[in-house]
Amino acid sequence: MIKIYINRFFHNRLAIFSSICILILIFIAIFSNIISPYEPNRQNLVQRLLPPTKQFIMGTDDLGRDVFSRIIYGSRVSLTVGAVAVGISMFIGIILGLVSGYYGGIIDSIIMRLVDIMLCFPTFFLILMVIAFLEPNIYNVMIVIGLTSWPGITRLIRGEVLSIRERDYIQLAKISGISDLRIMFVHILPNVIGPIVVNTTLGIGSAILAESALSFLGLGVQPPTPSWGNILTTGKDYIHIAWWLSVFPGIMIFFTVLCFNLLGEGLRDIFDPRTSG
Amino acid sequence: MDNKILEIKNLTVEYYRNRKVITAVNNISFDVNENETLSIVGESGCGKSTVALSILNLINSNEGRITTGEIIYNKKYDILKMNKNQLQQLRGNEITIIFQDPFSSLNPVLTVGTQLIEILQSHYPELNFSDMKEKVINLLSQVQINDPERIFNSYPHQLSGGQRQRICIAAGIITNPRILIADEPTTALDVTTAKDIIELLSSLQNKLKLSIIFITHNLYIAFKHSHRIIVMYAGEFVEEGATDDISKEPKHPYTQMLLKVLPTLDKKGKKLNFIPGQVPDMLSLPKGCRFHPRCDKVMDICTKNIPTTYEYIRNGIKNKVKCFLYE
Amino acid sequence: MLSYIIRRLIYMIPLVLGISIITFFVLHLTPGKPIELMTDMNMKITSDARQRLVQLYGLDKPWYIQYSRWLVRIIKFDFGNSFRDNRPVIKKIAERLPATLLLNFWSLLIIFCISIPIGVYTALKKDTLFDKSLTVLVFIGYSVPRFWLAILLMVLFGIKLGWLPISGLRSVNYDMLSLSGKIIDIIKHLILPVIISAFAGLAGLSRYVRNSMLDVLSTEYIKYARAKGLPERIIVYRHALRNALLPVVTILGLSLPELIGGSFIFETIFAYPGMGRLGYEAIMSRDYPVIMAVGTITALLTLIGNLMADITYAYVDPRIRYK
Repeated sequence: MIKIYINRFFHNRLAIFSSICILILIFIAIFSNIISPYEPNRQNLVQRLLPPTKQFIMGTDDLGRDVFSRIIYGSRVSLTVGAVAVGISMFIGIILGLVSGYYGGIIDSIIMRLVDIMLCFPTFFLILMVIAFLEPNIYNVMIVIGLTSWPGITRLIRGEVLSIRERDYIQLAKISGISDLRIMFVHILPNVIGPIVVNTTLGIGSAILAESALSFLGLGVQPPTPSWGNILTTGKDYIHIAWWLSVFPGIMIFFTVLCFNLLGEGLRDIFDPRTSG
Repeated sequence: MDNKILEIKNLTVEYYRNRKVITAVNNISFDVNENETLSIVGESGCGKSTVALSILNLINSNEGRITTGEIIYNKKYDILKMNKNQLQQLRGNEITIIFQDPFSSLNPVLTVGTQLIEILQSHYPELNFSDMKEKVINLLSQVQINDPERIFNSYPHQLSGGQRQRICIAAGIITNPRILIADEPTTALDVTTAKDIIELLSSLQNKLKLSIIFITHNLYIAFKHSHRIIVMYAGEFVEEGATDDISKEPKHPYTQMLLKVLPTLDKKGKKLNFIPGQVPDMLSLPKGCRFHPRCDKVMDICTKNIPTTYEYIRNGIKNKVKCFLYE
Repeated sequence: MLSYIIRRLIYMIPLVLGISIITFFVLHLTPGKPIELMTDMNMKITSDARQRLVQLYGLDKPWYIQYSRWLVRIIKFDFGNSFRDNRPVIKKIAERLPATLLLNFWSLLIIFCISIPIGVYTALKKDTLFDKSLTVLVFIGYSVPRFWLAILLMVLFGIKLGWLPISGLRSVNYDMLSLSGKIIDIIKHLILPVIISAFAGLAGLSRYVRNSMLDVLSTEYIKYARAKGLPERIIVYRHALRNALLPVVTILGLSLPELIGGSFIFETIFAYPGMGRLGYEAIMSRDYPVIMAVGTITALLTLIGNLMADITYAYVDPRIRYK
C-alpha cells in the first residue's frame, strides 16, 4: 500500500521539486554555522546599513550585522517553530478527531462544541491575545501556535473517521472483540494518512507565516535572535534608506512557505484516490 | 417491421481506468426499427450502459472514448460525426434517455417543473411559457402523476422514487422523440413500482409509436415487454433475435444458462440454479471466445479463435448468434 | 425553515458561554496574579489605583465569583475602563468598530466578486493555460506573508509613486472637502488595506469554487442535462453554478474569523483607525480590559457572521428550506 504512494511520489514532479528545496532549507538550518559567512550577532557600528556588496551579499542592518548570515540562522527559527507547532496541533487534533469520530455521542458533541468555540476566534488574534498574557519568546510562540491550530485538524480527522467507521472491516474488528484503542490506531488511523500528511505540510507553511508575523510585530522571537520576521521589523523603520532589510527576509519567507504549500498540493494529488484514473 | 431508425455498426468504446485502457464495448453492431421495443440484456459491467451512452455520444472524454463505429440515425446522419449544435438538437429531442437512478438524474435545487419546461425551451423556443406549462401539466397526468400542478412546483427530494422516475419518463417523451433509451429504469425502484413503470413504458410505446431501447439485466422483464432482444457478454455481442425465439429456443450457451437461472413457477421447490464462474476481468480477458471458461458446451476451437456470427431468418426477423456451435 | 433558525439560535448559547470561558481562561494565563503584572507594567499606578483594579475584576475573590462577574460584564457589554486613558472600553471600541466593519465589508465584496468568476472559469477551462497560470497565482497568494506585501505595496504606491495615502482613513484636510471629495478620500485610503485583506481570501475561495464546480460538473444530473439537449450555457449557469455555489456561502462564513483577525495586522501597518489596531495597541501596552473586550467582541462578530451564513444557506438550498 505504501509502495503505491512512494511510486506515485517519484512520478510527481511538483512533489519532488519542492521536497528537494525543503531538504536544502533543512540543510541550511542544520549547518548554519558552517554556511554563514559571519556571526549573525556580530555587530559593527561602523558598517551600519550598508547596501548589498560583495562583502555583505544582502547588506547590513542598523547594528552592522550581516543580513545574509542572519537570514541563514533565521531558517532555524522558522523550521523549528513550524515543525513543533504543527507537531502539537497534529497530536491534539488527531487524538481528539479519532475519539470524537469513533465514539460519537456525547463525547463527540462536547469536543465539536469546543472546536466550534475555538473557531469563533480569529486564529491570529487568539495567538496575539495569548502571547500578550505570556512572555514573548520562541517557546511560547511554538506552543501557542500549536494550541490554536488544532480545531481545524480535529474537524477534518473526525470527518474522515466518520466515513471510515461504517466500513465493513471496522465493524468486523469490533465484533471480533478487538479493543477500541487498537481499532482506532491500527485500523482507522492508517486510512487517514493522506489528509494527515497533506495538512501537516500545509500547516508548517502557515505556522511559519504566523511566527514571522508575530516576530514582525515584536511579539514573537525577540532580537538578537534572528528571525525572518524580526529583521522585517527593523526593515519597516528604515524602509526609505535600506530596502534590502525589507526585501530579502520577505522573499525567504515567501519561498519557504511556497515550497511547503507546493509539496502539500503535490502530496494531495498523490494521496487522492480520485486521481488514479 | 424493418424500417430502420437506428443502425449501429462496429461500435468499439474504450475506457480509462487506473492508468490502463479497457475495451468496454467491442465491435457491436445492431439495428433498431421503428415502433419496436428492443432490449439489451446482460450482466453488470457487460457494457450495455456504455452502448446507451454512445448512441448520444455522451461518453465523458476524461473517462473514455469511442474508437470506431458509425451510428446512423434515420438512415441519413452519423451521430458520431455530428458537431456540437447538431448533437444538442438531437439529444432530448429526437432521441431521449432515462437513467437508472432518477434521484441523481434530477437537479436537487431546481423544481421538477423547471427541469421539464427547459426541455421545451431549448428545443421549441417559439412556444410561449403558459403553453409550455400546460403541455407539461398534461404530460404529467399522462405518466400517471396525481396532482400535477403541485408536483410541478416541487423539488425532487419531496417526491417518491416512482414519481421521480415518472418525471424522467415525462422528460423523455415530451418532445415526441423517435427513440427513447431506458438504461435500467427500474433497478433503483421497488418491485411494485417497477412493474408500474414498465407497463407505463409499454403503453407509451404503443400510443406514441416510438422505439424504445430497453437496457436491463433482468431477462424476465425483457421477455415480457420487448419485441426483440440482444444479449451481451463482457463487452461483446452474443445473441440477437425475436423475443419469442430467444425465450423458447435460445441458441447461445450463455443465453441458455441465463434462462435456466430464471426462477419460474414450474421450478418451484427445486434448487436455484446459477451460472458457474465469474464475469471476466476486463483487463485480462480469456483468449478466443470470452465466455468459454464458463461454457458447458465448450469446444477446443473456442479457446483459440473468436467465434463468427451466424444469421438466420425466422418469421421475417433476422436473428443472429455468435458461437461456433452453429458453424 | 423557521425551526432551523430557532435551533441555530439555541445552539449559539453554549458557544457564547464558551467564548466567555475561553476569554476568562486567557485572562488568567498570566504567570503570577494578573493584578501584579498589570500594575508592574505601569509604574505610575498608586496603591489606590491598585485597589480599584482589584475591585474592578474582583481578583481577590474565588474564581467562580470572578467568572460570573465576567459573564455579567459580557452580557452588559461593560468592559470597564481602559488602563491607558481611563475611558470606557466600550466607547473606544464603538469609535473604532465601524472602520473595521467597513474594511471587512469591502474585502468580502471583492473576494466574492472576483473569486467566483475566477473559480468558475478555471473549472470550465480546466488544464488550459489560463487555469494553470491562475493556479500559480493562487499559490503565490497563499504563500506571501501579507504583512510583507502590505509594506511593499505601501512603499510602492504610497511613497515611491505617491498615488495613495499610507495611513489612516481620512486625510488631514478631510473636513474641508466636498461630499464627493470626502468619498473619494475615503476610497483612496481604503484601497490598499482592502486589497491586502482580500488577497489571501481570493486565493482560497477561487480554489474552493473551482473544486466545487468540478465536483458538480461530474454529477449524474449534469450528464442528464446534457442528454436532454440543453444548450451548454444553460447547463453551466442554471444547473451547475447554482449547485456549486451552495457550499460557498458557508465557506464565506467560516472564513470570517480569518478576515476579521487578519485585519489586525494591516490596520497596524497602515495606521488604520479600526478595532484591530486598537487591539494591537492594547496588546503592546498591556491594556488588559481593552484586550479582553476586543477579543470577546471579535468572537461574537464571528459567531453572528456564521449564523448569517448558515441561515442564508438554509434559505438557498431547497432541500433544507422545504423540509
